[in-house]
Amino acid sequence: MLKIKGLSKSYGSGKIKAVDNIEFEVKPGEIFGFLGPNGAGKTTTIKMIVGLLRPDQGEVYINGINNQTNPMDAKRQFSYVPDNHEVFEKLKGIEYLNFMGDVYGVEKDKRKEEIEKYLKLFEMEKAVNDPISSYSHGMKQKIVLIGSLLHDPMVFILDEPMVGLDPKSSYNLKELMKQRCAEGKSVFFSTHVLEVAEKLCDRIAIINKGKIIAQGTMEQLKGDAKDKESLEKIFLELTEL
Amino acid sequence: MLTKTLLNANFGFSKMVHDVKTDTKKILMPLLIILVFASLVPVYIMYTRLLKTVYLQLFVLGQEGALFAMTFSGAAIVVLFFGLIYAMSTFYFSKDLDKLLFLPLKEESIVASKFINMVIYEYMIIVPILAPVFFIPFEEMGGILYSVFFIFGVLLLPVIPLSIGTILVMLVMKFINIEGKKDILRTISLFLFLIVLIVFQLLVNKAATSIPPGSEGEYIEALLRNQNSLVNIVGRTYPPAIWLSKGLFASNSLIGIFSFFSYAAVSIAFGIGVVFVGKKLYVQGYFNKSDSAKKQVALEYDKDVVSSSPWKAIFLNDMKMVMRTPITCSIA
Ligand SMILES: Nc1ncnc2c1ncn2[C@@H]1O[C@H](COP(=O)(O)OP(=O)(O)O)[C@@H](O)[C@H]1O
Ligand SMILES: [Mg+2]
Repeated sequence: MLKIKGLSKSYGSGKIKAVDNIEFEVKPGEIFGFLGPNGAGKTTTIKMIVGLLRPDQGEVYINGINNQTNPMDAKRQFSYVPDNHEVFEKLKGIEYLNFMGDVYGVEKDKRKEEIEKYLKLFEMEKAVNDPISSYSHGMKQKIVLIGSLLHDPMVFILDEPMVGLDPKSSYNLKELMKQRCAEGKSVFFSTHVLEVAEKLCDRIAIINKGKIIAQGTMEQLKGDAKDKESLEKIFLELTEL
Repeated sequence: MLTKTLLNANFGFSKMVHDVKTDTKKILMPLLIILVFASLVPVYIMYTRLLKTVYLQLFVLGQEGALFAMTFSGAAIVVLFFGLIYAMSTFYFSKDLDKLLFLPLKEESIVASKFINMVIYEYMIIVPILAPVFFIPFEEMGGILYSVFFIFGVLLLPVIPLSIGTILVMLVMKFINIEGKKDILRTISLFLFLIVLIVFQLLVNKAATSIPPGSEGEYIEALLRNQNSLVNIVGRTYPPAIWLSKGLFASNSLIGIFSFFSYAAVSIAFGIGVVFVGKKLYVQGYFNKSDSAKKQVALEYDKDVVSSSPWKAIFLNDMKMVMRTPITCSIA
């Protein structure tokens, strides 16, 4: 579903290596967590996957489609929820949703159905006719979430999705992720909270200072890590008090 | 579709309507805009009168076609001027590539939508400038082809100067990093806008008042007399204006039709050109920009953590706010 091969990226003509030779694969029906402390390189990796950054090295395949050589088709396979919820502030919520529907070519009937379903789920029905600039942080995130779900993407990519959501919305989102995976689609998301990854993910990759230091199921990670000590340190950093 | 969304995202009509609905105090902004326009009405009437006088005089000299060339090249200069500001704000300040580039949209259509957006913005300026030019010579030259040519001519008019302006801005932006200097640029553009407004007002006033009443004809005649082909002279500064003028002036002859179509073709070529240049300079520039490192200035505790008296703190805070707040969201 989502395959990353030897991905590297450095900022500032090679001085800061933000992402260093990363490899992983997200399989169909899987929730894959990308876990790491602040500044580990999660956002940089995700931006390379979605096409907001050009990798220095390496390849990204989404549903088997290379995102460098065939960007248009690759971009239709996924949807992306960025960590900064910068939406078109002057649009109304509903105008934004229609825009997203148009971009992905979602038919009117289906669009209506999906918009209604998700607006109800995230309790956004009242706010949807207001301009996005009047939304709170969490509401902005919800409108982006709804917009990104309209075309029912095969791969769902989220950058720090739980930040800023209230517990109920956060629960709804998690349920939604599980449901999508039950339908054979994939979810890939980044987080800096160990607990979230532990509860939600089928498999996890842990990234620190641009390198993946361990990956697998939670049991595997706890059992047979190569570098036990650093892993434990990371776990400590990632555990919320 | 993208064009429509961007248009709304830039203009903020939805937001303005909502603001007025939810908070009656915010009706001030639309009112202010109306007031500004109302204050321009007398100037506009003077401008129309001036055009008419010029036209009559040109007609006497047998050079009425020069009216088009003059106003069109004038409008093109205005478009270029505002184009620089618009291009800056639609392409660089809005920062919406972040929000668009991961969507399945062609880079070409992103650039094209933004460009069309700017063209529509320009209509708000050039349509009022050029509307009288349509009606004044209508009696003599009017006709179906004349009307069609005029309408399409004006619709295409911003394309060439705006392309030039946009490409210029993109070239400049390639070498200059504007991050953080946004508000200064906004302020400068506001002042430029005001200066242009004032200069325009002064010019119209001066032209209107410096002509002794009753002898406008002679005054302008003297101005125009010894120039053989005024159309050509004006047109030399901006050739597309002359093609369009010829097209209108001779709209019922083959030369006129040919000349209009060459104008249209060149305009469209420029439009396509800007899309390709935009793809290269603007979209590629986005990727290159993210490559360059942000210089992280290390915090020096002794120097950067400063204390001052409360009143000084408030004062400095206000200063910083004023300096860093965009003043002209509605204009630039
Ligand atoms: N535009 C940029 N220019 C320079 N360095 C950057 C830029 N973006 C991120 N970095 C650096 O790259 C590293 C990884 O950042 P990021 O991928 O945002 O981390 P995360 O999302 O895991 O918190 C950090 O050290 C950060 O300072
Ligand atoms: Mg991040």
